[in-house]
Amino acid sequence: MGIDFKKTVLITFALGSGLAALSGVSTGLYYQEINFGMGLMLGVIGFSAAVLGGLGSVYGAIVGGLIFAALQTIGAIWFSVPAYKDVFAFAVVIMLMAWRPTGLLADRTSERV
Amino acid sequence: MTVPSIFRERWPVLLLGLAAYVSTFLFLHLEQEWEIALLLGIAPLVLYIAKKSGMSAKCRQAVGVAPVFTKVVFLLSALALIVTLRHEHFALLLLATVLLYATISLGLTIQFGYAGLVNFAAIAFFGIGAYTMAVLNQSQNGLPDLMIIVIGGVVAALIGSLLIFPVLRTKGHYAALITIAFGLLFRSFLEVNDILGGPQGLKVSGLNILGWDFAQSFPAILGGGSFYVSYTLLALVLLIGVFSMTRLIESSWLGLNMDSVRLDETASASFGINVARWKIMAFTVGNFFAGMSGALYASMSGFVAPASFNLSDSLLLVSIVLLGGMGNAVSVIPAAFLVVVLPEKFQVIQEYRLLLFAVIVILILRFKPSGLMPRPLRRLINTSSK
Repeated sequence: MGIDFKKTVLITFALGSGLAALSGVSTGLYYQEINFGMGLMLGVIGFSAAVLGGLGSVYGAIVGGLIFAALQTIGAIWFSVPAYKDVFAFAVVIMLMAWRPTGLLADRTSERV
Repeated sequence: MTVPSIFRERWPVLLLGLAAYVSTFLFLHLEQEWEIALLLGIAPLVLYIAKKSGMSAKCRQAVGVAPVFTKVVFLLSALALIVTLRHEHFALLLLATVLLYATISLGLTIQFGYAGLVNFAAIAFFGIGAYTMAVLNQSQNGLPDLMIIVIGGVVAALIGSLLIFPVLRTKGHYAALITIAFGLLFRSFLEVNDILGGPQGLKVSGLNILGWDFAQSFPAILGGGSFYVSYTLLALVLLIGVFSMTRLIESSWLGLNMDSVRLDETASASFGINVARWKIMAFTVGNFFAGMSGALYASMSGFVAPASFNLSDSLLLVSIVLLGGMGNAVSVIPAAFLVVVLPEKFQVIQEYRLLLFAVIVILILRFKPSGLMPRPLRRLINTSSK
């Protein structure tokens, strides 16, 4: 079909990494503190948010990110020990995934065999 | 005097066992970095020469002809390893850790390699077993320690069954996310939970099986040695049990069904295979193995703390399975050995050792993309019989 496969993969990878770096810059500016180990947890949270919303859906990523942040905040308020917020957020994410296995806003596709 | 024919066929197996013994002994015994580096340089060379001279083909054939004999030879070389290293605490600790990691990886082999279920929370199930041991061992309830190890596995399998529903409904990235989320959830939960000791964790007393106190040094009647000898032996027994079970699952209709579920769910379902049933079975059995291994690990290390159950450890276990060759039960043992021992042997270069380790793993996968020992094709007809 004339699509340059290699180029497309490279550009998507570069774009994705660039966006992550951009959010890294804003995270650093906001918290005024950085360390080399902070990325893993944030990366997992980003992945959770994208998957929760539905991979391949732009609005899904936004909705997923908002929901995850909301869950963490609610968790921090509800429990007497604020550290339970991650436990709460991840537990709800697992339940939401059980309810909508392909994310909240995933486009409907049928599997062809 | 003529050499008995049985020996003529089987000597490559003996050679293989000897090679395994010598290389693992050297790796565990040597302390200097340059010695380890030299070994790492020689190993591929030896393998290359063996391949060129037709030696590896001969070994493979001999192993295929005499599977039971091979098992006995390797068991003996493992025992010889423990005997020769019996006074070295650290080497034995490493060896026991390798055995326990190999046990979890066998669980992962069943999940990933056979049924195709991704599990990035293996260390969480390991941790559940470890905490079960810590809690049950503390509350003097008279449960025998061997039973607690099994209970550790059962608890891990039970808690894992909470995940069955979401894991069954999702696929690919989505299923991976569920297990990653569970791993993180488990760790955060342990850190904030005061009953289970919070970030400090819990102390675990040593094992005591039938009056044999594992915290004492190894009985002098049996040759004496570090107290780790007992733990290493028990870990070896656990590994042998789990390994045989994995092989039995693989070679039976259970494994056949799991393989077909992994390769094509839709096709399996249309042939009347209950996809959910096999996935549940693989997931539960894998978690059970991880839990048992965790229970033994807890009593060996003497304490459990959330810091030992990170996401990165789960990734390490996944890398053992991938490095070994997915679905090949034998391969997890050398792979676990490399993954556990290499970083420890390069302590001097501090955190760079992880970098070096990562480079070695990437190099291995670059030249052998399907792992050190890729899974052989399933042989449905026994061709070796004469």
